[in-house]
Amino acid sequence: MNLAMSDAVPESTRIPIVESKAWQGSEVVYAAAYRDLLRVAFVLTGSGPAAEDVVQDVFAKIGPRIDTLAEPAAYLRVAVVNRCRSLHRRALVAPQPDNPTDALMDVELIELRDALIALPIRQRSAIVLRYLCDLPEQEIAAILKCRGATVRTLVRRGLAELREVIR
Amino acid sequence: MKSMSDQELAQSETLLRQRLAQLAAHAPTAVHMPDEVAVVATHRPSGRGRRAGVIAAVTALIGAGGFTTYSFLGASNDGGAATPQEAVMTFASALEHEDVLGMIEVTLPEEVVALRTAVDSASSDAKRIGLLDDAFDAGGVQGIDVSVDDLVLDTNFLEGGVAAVTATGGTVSASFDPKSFPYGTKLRELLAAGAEGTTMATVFGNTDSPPVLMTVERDGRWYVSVEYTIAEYIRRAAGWELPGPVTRTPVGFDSPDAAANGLYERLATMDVQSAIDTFAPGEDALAWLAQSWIADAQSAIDRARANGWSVAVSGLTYETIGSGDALTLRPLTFKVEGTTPVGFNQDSSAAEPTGDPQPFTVEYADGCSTVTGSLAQSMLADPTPSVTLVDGGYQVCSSDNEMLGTLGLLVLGNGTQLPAVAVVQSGGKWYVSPLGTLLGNVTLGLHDVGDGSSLFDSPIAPYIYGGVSRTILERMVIDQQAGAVSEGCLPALTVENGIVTGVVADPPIAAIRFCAGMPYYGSESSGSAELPTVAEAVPESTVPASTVPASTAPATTAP
Repeated sequence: MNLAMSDAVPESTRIPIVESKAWQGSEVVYAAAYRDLLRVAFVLTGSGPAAEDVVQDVFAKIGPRIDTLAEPAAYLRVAVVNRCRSLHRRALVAPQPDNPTDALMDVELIELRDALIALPIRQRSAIVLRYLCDLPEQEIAAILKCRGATVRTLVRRGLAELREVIR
Repeated sequence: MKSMSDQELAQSETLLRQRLAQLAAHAPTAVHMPDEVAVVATHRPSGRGRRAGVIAAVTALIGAGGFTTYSFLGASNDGGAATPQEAVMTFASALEHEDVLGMIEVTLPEEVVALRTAVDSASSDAKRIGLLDDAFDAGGVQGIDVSVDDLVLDTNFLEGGVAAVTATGGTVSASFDPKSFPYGTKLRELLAAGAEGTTMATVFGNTDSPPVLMTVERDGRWYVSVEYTIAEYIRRAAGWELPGPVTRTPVGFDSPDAAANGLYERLATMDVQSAIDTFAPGEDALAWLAQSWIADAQSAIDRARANGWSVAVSGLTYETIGSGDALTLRPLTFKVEGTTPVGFNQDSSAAEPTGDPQPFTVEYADGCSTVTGSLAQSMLADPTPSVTLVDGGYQVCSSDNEMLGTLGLLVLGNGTQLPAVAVVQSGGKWYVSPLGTLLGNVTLGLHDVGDGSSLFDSPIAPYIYGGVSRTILERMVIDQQAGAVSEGCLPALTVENGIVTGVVADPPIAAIRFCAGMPYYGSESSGSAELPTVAEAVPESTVPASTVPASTAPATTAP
């Protein structure tokens, strides 16, 4: 998938992102970071195409500033989570019953994906950040802009909702 | 929700980690490996073009969001809730997450567009003019933390698919952290020294009038209704009996302008019921409430008519804001003509008319209202500085309004402007949206602040600067002795020969704060007789050299 706006951007406003210091100029490091973000976005949106769009959008916006960031990987992850939440709120990501990925997934995983999508977006984000990204409570609280106690509540409620589909 | 033992919790956590990893393995793996990434242009077009762009973009977003929400709510059981209590619990959950958009999503479908439009428009304009930072997110407001605990709800099912859900127990606590709140640059500047964190908690069940949220049933599902909730609070305050179910036939129009004209013309003829009938299908809260007062109101109106009151409106043209099926129409021109009972404005205690009704006109064009005839009499007898006297009446312009023009317009006799009207399209016809109208008139206050203009010169200044704006401050101080003005206020003023002649172009914030604390001159001694008369405008080019710059201002003391 190509960047939607790339054709309209003059050459003078392009930067070579893979050569950025953030990836030590390595395509391998860049690709690994890219795939990590795709996984987070996929679980949060439940959609492969939406995940690709989210990650590309984030790189398009943050790419020019990547070298100014102290922790680019963490920053990009927060941006991806926020972008997914924003998409959810604008109802741009809806459950897709005929999701082409379904054919490749076990029924249990489809149930988990659907159960995740049914969770409120903050609960879902908390679950993903805690159990997929393995982030500590305080870091999740900073990303979701809430207190640690709220994160505990979100995770506990989300976990309770998902119990039936992970057994 | 079932509780889990520690062991169950640990097992569930482990399982979930494994399952999420398995699910994530199905994510796309193709890495977009550009050797470059496009940088999205960051320059913004300016002026009207940009505003139109913002309006179009916001409208498009709202249109898309609104459609999705309607579709989502209508097409499945995911919209609304099975019971009124469940609807309120969902609403409370969104509140707990400081998720304004989430709260909107569980409200009545007919109200969603108006609410989303208001939130998007207000936050967009607040960001544009520097009140809010670009990081402000209505889906999770930073710096505000709300907690809803142990909520106990009681449902009272009313006739017509309406239910009142009352909180009879529980606590709502909220804290505000100004350091985290995404103030825009201008507001942060203003609040730099003064903003402090606050915490509040409300315990339900301890009051005679517990909080209530009204819910409405649509197709077997229950939704929170903002309009019905407002109506219920008004009903309670007035002590009216609970109304019965609404029976009305909404009257649609062929165009947006016709719908707005329909409302104004029906209001002008003082036919309240037919004005309510212009409201959109499903927006029934005002009709519900009107059952309590419409009979009394109509007989009072009939008496007024018999005494000589008459009103007719004509010449309405509008500025259309928005696009698609939800528009806001703001009157650009209109003429109101009519008659008042004799003696109106002079002896309001007169119970019966003593002569023929007196004619009046209010004509609005180019941002100014010209009032003549009987409505102008009291102003002509004692003109205030905000008006310009014209032949047989006076003229007042929106730039002279002390507060938001929209609020001032409610007093038509003061001659400002008519409120904007929000209209929506439904089933090929256009209707008035009462909730959209209410919210739209509030958000237009922000919309009207120009790019890069000083907030101190804007209609929202009194709400930001502690009750003063440039216009208000000028009225307060021009022609006063500089020695009578608080020293802290002087850096905001221009002074010539010891007399205050105006307000500097960009007054220091600290000085405005001092000025805002000043009494209105003359109000303590001999009343309005000492109010400044018609203020003479001081053109920028004639601002005298004796303007006191902030850097040379005397040491400030509390006023």
